[in-house]
Amino acid sequence: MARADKILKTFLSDSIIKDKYNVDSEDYPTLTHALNSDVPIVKAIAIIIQDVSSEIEMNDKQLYQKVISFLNRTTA
Amino acid sequence: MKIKKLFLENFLCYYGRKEFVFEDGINLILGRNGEGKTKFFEAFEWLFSSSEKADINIVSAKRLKDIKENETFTVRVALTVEKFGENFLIEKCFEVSLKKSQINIENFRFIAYENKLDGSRIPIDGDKKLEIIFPAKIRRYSMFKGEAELNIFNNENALKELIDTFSEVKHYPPYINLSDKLYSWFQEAMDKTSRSNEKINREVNIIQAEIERRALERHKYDRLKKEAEQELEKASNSLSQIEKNSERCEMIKVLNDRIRKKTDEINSMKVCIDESYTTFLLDEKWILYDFQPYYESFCNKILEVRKSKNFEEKKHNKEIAKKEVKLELLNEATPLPWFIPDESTLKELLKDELCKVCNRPAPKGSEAYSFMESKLKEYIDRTNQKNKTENDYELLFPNNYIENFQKLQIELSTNGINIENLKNEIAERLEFNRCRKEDLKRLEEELDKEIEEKNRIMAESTVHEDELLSMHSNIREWTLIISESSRSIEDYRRKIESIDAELNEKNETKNRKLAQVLPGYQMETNRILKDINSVFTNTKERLLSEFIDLLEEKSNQFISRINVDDFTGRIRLRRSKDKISVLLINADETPIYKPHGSLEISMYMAVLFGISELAFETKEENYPMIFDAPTSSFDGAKVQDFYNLIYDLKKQCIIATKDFTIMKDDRTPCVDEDTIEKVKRDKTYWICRIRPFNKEDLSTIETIVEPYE
Repeated sequence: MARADKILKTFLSDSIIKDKYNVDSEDYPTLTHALNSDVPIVKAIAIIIQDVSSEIEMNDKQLYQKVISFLNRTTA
Repeated sequence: MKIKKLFLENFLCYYGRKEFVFEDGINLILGRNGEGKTKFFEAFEWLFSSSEKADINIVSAKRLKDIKENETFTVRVALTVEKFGENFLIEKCFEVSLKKSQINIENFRFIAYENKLDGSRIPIDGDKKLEIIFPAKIRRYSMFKGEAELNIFNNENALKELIDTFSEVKHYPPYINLSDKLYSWFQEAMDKTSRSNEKINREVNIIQAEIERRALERHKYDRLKKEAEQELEKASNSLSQIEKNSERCEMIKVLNDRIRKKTDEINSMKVCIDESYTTFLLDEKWILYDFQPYYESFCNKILEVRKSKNFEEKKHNKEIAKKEVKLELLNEATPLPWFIPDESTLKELLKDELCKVCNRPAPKGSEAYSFMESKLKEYIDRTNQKNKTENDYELLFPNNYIENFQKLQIELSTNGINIENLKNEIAERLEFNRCRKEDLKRLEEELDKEIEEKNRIMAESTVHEDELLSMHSNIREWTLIISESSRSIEDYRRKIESIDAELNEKNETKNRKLAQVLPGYQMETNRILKDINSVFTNTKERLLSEFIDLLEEKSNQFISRINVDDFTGRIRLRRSKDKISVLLINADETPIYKPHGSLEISMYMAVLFGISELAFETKEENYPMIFDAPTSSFDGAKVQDFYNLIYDLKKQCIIATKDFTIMKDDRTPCVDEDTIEKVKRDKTYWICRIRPFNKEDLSTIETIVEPYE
């Protein structure tokens, strides 16, 4: 398992994700699965992991714009 | 990774070329103190250190002394290691030469050799290759000199180093930093949006100003709390150092006292031993040791001569028909010389009319009185002889040589020279000196033992003797600091908690205000960002706790194996913020106060083995462990258990130790065959200095290396 997938799994195993958002980490075995998620928090986390683990890292402001724009769009 | 071979050439006490071949298991390097164990360990340290280069101080003093003009020799430490079935040679070396009476150091090299498929070897940078084969981070948990270094947590960065080396937790801080930024930037964006509504904006600004004021206050208390924590830690460490060293300090005091007394005794003893025999020959007349027979022979000869003289004189007197009256003694006995008794004695006898030789009266007119009168007359005549003319009469023995000899005889017999006493005196003095020398030897041996014991104790100490002995004077001060710091920390903690609660409330209020003017999706985004921030922080904390729990579990498995059938307690790894400490606890969770030496060392070793297993699990590779004197505080039986446990681990360990060695009666070291036979081991080497050597001359020291079968 790639490190990004392992990190995703550890984040999705947190009680906030499980209890507040009713997300089962088993549903997202890889980062690709999480990037395609309908659950905003799962996808937002996946976007952040993808950025940090990517060799071509965007700057923090770019990532902020990407995450906020995604969340604002999906939660509107 | 396995260490296959260590090659030393002219490195410190390892004169010439020496080689250690290691097995994949337990390798023991046995040697008494000072025989070269630590130098063996230092060879690894020198090789592994990227900063240490050519240095005259690591050159064998013996080799340096042997060097001839225009000669060059090599100082080398080389290691053959096996990694994933492939062998590598890593070596660090330099050359030493003598040119024009000047020692030169040159051609330093730190290289590794890689084997090519065609069998050739190509040299590459040793430092880089070493980092790939045996990374410095792993070496940090693989090499330990003495017992003091075994506590890897006695270091501020211990937790960070552990995590960086063995845990996935190290990947999480960037996520937390990032989510902090995203959340904070979004908060700022929301504040900007809220400014469009003047009334709400004003209210939010007031709340925000209050939040910022309280946040500053919180920051201040947080800083003060950290400072107090640092003070507390410093004081606790110092106090714990004092506690840990209290036994050692007492022992050193006792030993210093004993050493002082022994030294005084030795000095007094040395003063007692007077071996100025040449002086005694004349000053104490020891030269007369065998004088008695000569003296007796001398007396006999004097007697003979006197008899002959008397005989000759009588004959002479008769022959020359001297007119002087000659008194003859009964039985023709030899008369006393004319000067015995002397003039004053004879006058006294005549005056008292008493012969004080035979204690009989000699009244005037008696025969005895007349005899004494004639003796006095003869005495006066003889003393006045010089005044007589040669014509009066001719003397047969005019020079009184025989009388002079007799005077000497009397002088020798009455001058206090008691030959028998002299013999006894000489014998007594020699015996006295012999006994004192034996005492001195015994005392010096005892002193050596005391000094050796003291050196052993100080070798385990991390502080200098003076510091160790002065530590106790600071106990009161440290205790006071601990008490004050603890009170301050608790005070700041309560204040911070109170501010946090207030900040939460104010943030909630602010968010409620913002919600009145901000679209719902923005509030939802804000909530998700806050949750992401919490998830990231919680996950890092959870993984860190899991890592420490795992290490604690593995350490506890080992401590029970090291201390079979003995009380161990349980190892507890305690984390406080970014620091970690280790302690032993009872079944009721109370800490064990001051575990005894071997239990404490067992605890540290168990943690090290636990880390070693973690290394295997995380790096999927086993690394060797190298120890110098790890079991100094273990007793005999525990030492065997300890080595047998390491053997069972099937892990490569190289241990330099003085366990299983003894000193023979002639004070030469050797392996204790009885105890070593009870220990399971894969390879054993015996190291010792070639004897004799000059205690004060390093260039006479050479350690020999022999496989012990």
